[in-house]
Amino acid sequence: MENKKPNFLQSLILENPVFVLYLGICSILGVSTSLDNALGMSLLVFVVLLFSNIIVSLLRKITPNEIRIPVYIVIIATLVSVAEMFIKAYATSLYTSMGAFISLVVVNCIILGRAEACASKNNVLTSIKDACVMGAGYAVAIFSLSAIRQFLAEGGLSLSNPLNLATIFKFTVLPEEFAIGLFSKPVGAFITFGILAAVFAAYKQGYEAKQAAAAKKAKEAK
Amino acid sequence: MKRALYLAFFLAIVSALAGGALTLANDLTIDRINANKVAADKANLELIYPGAEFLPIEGFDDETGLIQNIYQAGDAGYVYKLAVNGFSGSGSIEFMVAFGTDGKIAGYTVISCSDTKGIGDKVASDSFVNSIVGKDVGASIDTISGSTVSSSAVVGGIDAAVAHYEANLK
Repeated sequence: MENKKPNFLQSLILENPVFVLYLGICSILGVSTSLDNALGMSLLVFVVLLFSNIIVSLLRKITPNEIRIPVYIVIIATLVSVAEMFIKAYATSLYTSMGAFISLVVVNCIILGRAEACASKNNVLTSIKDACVMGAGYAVAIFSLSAIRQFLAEGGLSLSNPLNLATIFKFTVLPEEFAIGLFSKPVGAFITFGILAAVFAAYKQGYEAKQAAAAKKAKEAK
Repeated sequence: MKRALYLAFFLAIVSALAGGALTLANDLTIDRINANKVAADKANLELIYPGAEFLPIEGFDDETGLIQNIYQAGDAGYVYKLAVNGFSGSGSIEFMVAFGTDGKIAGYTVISCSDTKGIGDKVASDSFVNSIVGKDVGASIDTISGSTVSSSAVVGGIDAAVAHYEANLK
């Protein structure tokens, strides 16, 4: 068997920006208390990442190398501020629950990291694809973290439309006295994050071992 | 030298474009954001005086800087919106307190509180609300033991509102 590239789903885990590259953890730990926040944050990060990758990629030939970081920061900060205004205008409850973490997307390492590592060297199409993979990876990370935390802290899960607050689904499994309030606090975020990071690392190790075994077998066959 | 000028020029252009984009976004959203603010207050005002006609009082004097807004609720009384400095710093507790024309505190609701969960947020607890609502305007209010910083801030805010109310609106 050829040493094939991981497919989209696998690369979400193997190249997950949060659990494998450990980028953008601040906002992940801060807002991953409910699925509503997870939805808002992943949409916000995806939109900002997409546009920053596109703009940085378009400007990559004329951006002077010496000042590329300040230029990226100005671009990202502008995108985040614009997004913040729209969230404030159209999804007030989301704005209240995410608070300062919206502005902190400016210094989110995933976005600056992708601008530097990918968009500044590649054409627009590649950059868009990269934004999609990274944005989806971020969403996987924050949704898994939020689901676990919300489930343990509130005993159930709920998701509502951020624009009109209509409930999309809501269920409660654990009776209230079994809910663990700790998981809505930062401590719970760190515990959950550690366990999930271990799971992702274990999967990655298993995958790499399998790849190595396959490569060895192919060599012996020759 | 030429290079340095070019760099500065490039960054200036990028920043100018960014500024333009921000102005545009601000123009598009500012009306809605302001409308949301008033609407948000309205929802909380309705909790105290359901169905009343609310009239914002503009241009009030407030030396303490704690009073955010004052609304007249028909002829039933006045509602003060305050932001006080609790445990997590400036404006960490936002609440409304209403003074009825009968001389009693007609309502008290906490709008937002970023103080410690389980400690500072006791200022929104039913027992604290009940200890305030129904008291005579100007009567002393007990703070909560175990939540002294947050509850003192709230009581201080109510005192500022009372002082303003008695001096200007009563």
